[in-house]
Amino acid sequence: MSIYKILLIVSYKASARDPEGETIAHELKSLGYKEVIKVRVGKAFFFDIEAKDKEEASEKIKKIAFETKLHNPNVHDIMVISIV
Amino acid sequence: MPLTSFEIEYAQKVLGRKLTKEELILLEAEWSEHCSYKSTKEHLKKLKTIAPWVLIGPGRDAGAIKLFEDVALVARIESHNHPSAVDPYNGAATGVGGIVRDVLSLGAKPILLVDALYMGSLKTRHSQWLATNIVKGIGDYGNRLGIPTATGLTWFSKSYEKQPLVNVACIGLTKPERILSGKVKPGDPIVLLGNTTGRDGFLGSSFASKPLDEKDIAAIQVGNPFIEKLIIDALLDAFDKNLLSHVKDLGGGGLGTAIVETAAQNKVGVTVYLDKVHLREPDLEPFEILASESQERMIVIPKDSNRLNELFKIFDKYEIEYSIIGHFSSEKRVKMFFKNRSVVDIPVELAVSPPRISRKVSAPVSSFEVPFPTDVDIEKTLISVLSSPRVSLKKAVYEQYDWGVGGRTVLPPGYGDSAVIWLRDGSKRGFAVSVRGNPRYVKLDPFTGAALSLGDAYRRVSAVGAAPLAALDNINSGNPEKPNQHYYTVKMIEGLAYASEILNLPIIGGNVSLYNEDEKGSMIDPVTSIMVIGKIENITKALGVVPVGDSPLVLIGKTEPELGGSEVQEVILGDVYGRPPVFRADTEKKLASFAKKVSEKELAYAAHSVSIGGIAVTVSKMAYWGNVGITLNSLAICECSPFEALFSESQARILYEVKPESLQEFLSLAQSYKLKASVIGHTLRNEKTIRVQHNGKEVIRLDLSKVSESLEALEKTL
Amino acid sequence: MSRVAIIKYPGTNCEEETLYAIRNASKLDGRIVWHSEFKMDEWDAIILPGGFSYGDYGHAGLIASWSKASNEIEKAFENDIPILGICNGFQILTEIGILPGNLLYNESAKFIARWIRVKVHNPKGPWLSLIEEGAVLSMPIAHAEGRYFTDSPENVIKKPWMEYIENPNGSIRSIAGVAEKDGIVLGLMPHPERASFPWQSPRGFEPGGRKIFEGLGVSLKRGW
Repeated sequence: MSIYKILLIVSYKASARDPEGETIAHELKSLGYKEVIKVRVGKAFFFDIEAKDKEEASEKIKKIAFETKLHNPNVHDIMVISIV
Repeated sequence: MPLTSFEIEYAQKVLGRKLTKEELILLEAEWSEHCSYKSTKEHLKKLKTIAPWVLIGPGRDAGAIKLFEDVALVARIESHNHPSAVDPYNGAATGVGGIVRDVLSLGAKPILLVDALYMGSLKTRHSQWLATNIVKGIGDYGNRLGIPTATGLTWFSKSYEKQPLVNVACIGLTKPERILSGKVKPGDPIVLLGNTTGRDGFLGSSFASKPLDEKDIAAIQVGNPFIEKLIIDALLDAFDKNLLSHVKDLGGGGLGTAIVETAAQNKVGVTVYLDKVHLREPDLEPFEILASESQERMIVIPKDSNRLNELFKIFDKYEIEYSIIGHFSSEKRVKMFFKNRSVVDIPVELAVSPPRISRKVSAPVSSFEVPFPTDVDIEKTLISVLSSPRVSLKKAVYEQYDWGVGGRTVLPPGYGDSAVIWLRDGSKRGFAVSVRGNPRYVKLDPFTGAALSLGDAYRRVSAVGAAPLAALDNINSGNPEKPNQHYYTVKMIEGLAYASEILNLPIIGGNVSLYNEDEKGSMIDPVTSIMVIGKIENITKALGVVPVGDSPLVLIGKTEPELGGSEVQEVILGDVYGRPPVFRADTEKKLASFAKKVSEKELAYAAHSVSIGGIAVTVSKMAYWGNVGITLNSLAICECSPFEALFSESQARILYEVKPESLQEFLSLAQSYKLKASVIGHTLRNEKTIRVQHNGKEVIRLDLSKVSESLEALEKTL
Repeated sequence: MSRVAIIKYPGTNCEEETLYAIRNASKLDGRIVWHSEFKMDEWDAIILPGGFSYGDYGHAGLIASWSKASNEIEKAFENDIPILGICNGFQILTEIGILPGNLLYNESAKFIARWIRVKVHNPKGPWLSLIEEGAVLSMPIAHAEGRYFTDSPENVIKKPWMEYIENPNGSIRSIAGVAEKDGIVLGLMPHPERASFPWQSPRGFEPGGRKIFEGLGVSLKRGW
């Protein structure tokens, strides 16, 4: 067992609205940053977690997120990223 | 819920042809329970809705009363139960959004939010998750709008473990002559204002008209309070400039419903070009455009089409999107086009007239009595009752709500039996609002249960010194197709009709939420939330619940050993049995007039209506709020056992902390109203205990610190 | 008559009660000014009221600080025009950078609305001109992002500042309000406009915000 660093990002599903991202994108464009096409906002969780390997660490995070409702699968997508 | 084959055949027979896909979708929304009230309409007619001060009764998007000669108060209540079960945060938040837009639709400025939440036990992770997110959703949305949530009701029961009930209400103010007429005439353009239309929230209203199913999760809407706030500000500017004749929320059923209802109310037709709607996704199909329930959208009809530019200048200032999507017409048909293709062409009358259906009711077997065990420890019982989540303090909830924005809040949550709101118009006038509901009483007797909630809210509004003027109801009940469930709906309406008549309290609006069933098809505990509104001439005299100490406690009203459906019954026996307390309309009325006099004459320091948990809870909370000790004589409450005296939930009672120098005047005033008044104890500034005597024997001696710890129990779980 | 500008951004929501307090407690003339139309040289004092400018998106005060009103506010700052930031207004002033520190999410990670008390230290300037050293004021707070943080609190408390009697949100040194330029510029999380009239405060609290508005009224007439 060793300790892995995992980043979990919870954001609204692509099919759902993201008022915060939409507002920020709109305001950035009106400031002159025309190259900004779209902004999506999410919540990031940085975990240090014990596991056999990277894959198991990611699986554990997914399980925890689901069981504890860190995200609502009805409306959110999650991204689980292993970081070094 | 899809139309039944009978309903489809009926529509096709009237039209003499097959329905288009778009027509089918439109009728499905229009004829849903949510929009048509088809199962309850005949019963709702029984409610008292008229009084000289009622400006607008049920039927429009909100009701209105003349609060003062120059002030109209607009109000509406609505449920968002089904969406909140699936996505508690956004479900509750968008419920707030909808109710605020309803109040705007009469041309009023929304200034107060109220919520009534019925949530699970808080003992499972799921019910905690629901409760936490519902409260956060209401707070995050309401707070961003700058509308205070200054009073509410929070109930907890395992019946709501997976299906919470989320009722929200909004109150707004305007001048009586500035209420929007709602009148439109042929030729008037229809402007769609606000958020883009997308696939989110597709067919939510029929979603609210049937039992929950996991498949329905496509109907999730994310609230955008920021856009809603801009819509509010823009519309208030437009109201000021007298630019609008009609405004309507796009709520259940979306664009189609809002337009059809406006046309029907005005007996005109309507033509809409669905391809003119500003869209979120360019590839939306016409049936999706007409039924999408994307949030934060309204239709606005200009008073004078020559001043459209003035209107659009306001919308541009706030950077809100809008489009002109059609116009009203003299031919009484709903016509919709998409890229020059006719997709809907039906008579307006058909759209709003679902075929009559009749629902059956059947009464359940009547409940039985279950005695209390004989060896109950009264002090331990008090602690259990005080720490029950229904009784304990709701700080964990209301501190997440911005109850003070607007600067109008005179009695915030935790300081009065009702929210007391100052008009902040240079005068000291204001109003009071309370919302009540009791699923336990309804379970034992839906007729009395609904009546008692009306009585309870009426009394709480009176207790602060206000004169009750109007009520709104939100019925939450089961499946109307099941006679044993529909029984509760019908009986609650009848109970309300009876109570509103006898208390002379018009019901100016309401909402019915049906199909509140669990996954097995069993009804969750039905309940009616009642909001009562009263007026106050001088808010500086409003009576709160915080005592000052060293003064007599006088109980007004009669205590009977009534423990059916009580808090103590649920705490000790785990369920409720027997009959709920008697609804004492006559005493309630006298008590209301008396309470108003007490506040006007400034005879008391504090007033607290006796509610769930009985006198025991009433005095414990007063002791907590005032940080004072209290001594009570049980026999002065009732010639019965101390257990009954303390925990009885007899109605029509208010406990006063009376100014010592005014005690005689207070007692004679009570006598003049033929109300029973008993000095049952005292508040004590220097002794921080609650002591109860019965026949010279001390039956309770509890430190205030222990009381506080019990009353704060909820803060640890929520 | 002196004129006070109350700047409104999209999402600002405390402008009306603030104006009411300016007119009825300060006895001054005031106007609500849309952020993009704000010009500093037309005004004798400036208030950034509470609310959720741009929905608090990103974080509180961030997007409002991008407004061109920020340039005007900075100019006003340089010209010693009294500026008061209340709640979201305080957050915006720290985002613009004319008040030190930042306002982070509450320790409880929740929005908190309650009556609290603050102690005033080193009162100086137009806003605090009627308040004595060590005076305790009660006012409500209502915020999610009110945890004051700075690397150098010792610099803040040399100047006029406000201290929570009971720290509600985890602010460093219990800091509830900070000032610059000898109190000409003040930012605070509590809401004085909700505590300006006796009936706005429930039993156990005083309308502690009134003195701030009265102070401005007196100061603009007689100096400070």
